[in-house]
Amino acid sequence: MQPKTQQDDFRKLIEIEVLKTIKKLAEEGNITKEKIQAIAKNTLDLIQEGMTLEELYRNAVKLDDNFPELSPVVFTIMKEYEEKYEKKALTQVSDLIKTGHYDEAQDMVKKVLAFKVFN
Amino acid sequence: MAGAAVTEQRAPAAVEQSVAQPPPNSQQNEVTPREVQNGVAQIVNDVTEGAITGQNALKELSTGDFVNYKREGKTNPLTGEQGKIVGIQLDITEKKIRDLEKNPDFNSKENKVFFCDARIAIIQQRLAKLNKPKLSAVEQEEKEKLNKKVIEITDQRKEFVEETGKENVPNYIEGLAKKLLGNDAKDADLKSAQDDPLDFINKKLENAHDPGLIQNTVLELIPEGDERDNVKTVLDALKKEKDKNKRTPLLKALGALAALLFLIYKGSSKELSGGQQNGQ
Repeated sequence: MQPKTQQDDFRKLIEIEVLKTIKKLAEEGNITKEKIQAIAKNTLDLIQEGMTLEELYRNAVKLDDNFPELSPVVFTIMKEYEEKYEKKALTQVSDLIKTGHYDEAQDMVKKVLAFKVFN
Repeated sequence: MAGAAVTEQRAPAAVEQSVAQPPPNSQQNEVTPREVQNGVAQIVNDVTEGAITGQNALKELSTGDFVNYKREGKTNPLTGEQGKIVGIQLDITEKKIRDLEKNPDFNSKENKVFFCDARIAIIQQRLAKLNKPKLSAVEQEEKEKLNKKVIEITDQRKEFVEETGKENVPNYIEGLAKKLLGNDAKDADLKSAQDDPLDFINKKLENAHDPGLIQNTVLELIPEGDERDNVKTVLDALKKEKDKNKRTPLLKALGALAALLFLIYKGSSKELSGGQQNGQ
């Protein structure tokens, strides 16, 4: 079970990134009111309280499926996720190798790879 | 922080809509870009000041009336208008956001190039699964969408590269595959390495007759550090171990390490094909 704060922090980061992008687009005059509404609604649909880190990540990478304007947000989210959460899994793999748990190490790497490929 | 001191509950957007005055320059349903900009700026600034949560801000933006957004006690910097009291739920603080932005990696152009590469690689994995003779309508639509996305991201990537003047196209697996297969590596082999890196590495290692070659190849690609020590330990054990049953877990470990390194170094600026190491 992941600590709730981790998930909340990640969710808030996603929300903030979306808001920053909307603000930037509005400042540039490149976005309509209706588009902002649609982006906000789409974000609220995809990013919800109570989701696990994995669910948040999987949904976050879909943010720009219909809104290419949000591609930079997705990049940032992927980076944050990989740096903060995925690297923990990699550290565990390293520890398993050091302690001779080779099968477990391979299983964990498979899971990480499968997760990346899935997304 | 002025916004942080306010703790009243935020009124629902619908209530605000009923009392909000239309912007002075609005004509019927026409909303000017300036009004849009103003409304968004007000809402996002309130988030920055910790006055409302990002989630509430998005809820506000999802309503049709966000251009009239006001917050009590706060002067609209564009119109000079004084806002009305609205509920506030302290959640994310300005400090937290500033802390996030202090991260030197945050939003850098170089990172965007890296993520373009990562996203293209991921999409290509999905496209590979759709590479079959008969596709359903849904699959066909998905394929077209993915192809379009690759083009979009490739264009973005080009822009980011032009902006930074930096190329950042590392591909650990392709580099490793070329090393193991030699310079005459076929596209099909490289593709199989891309499609299932772990399986590819495991097969290559199982079939390799020269552990020294593997050692040199793998170590050449890995800078000094824990991972290099791990790989070296496993490779040393592999060289000494002749019993096939005992070699299997070592090969598995090597496969796991190679995949691990793929994940770690695929985003670095190492030039893999030439064996040069200038990791960041």
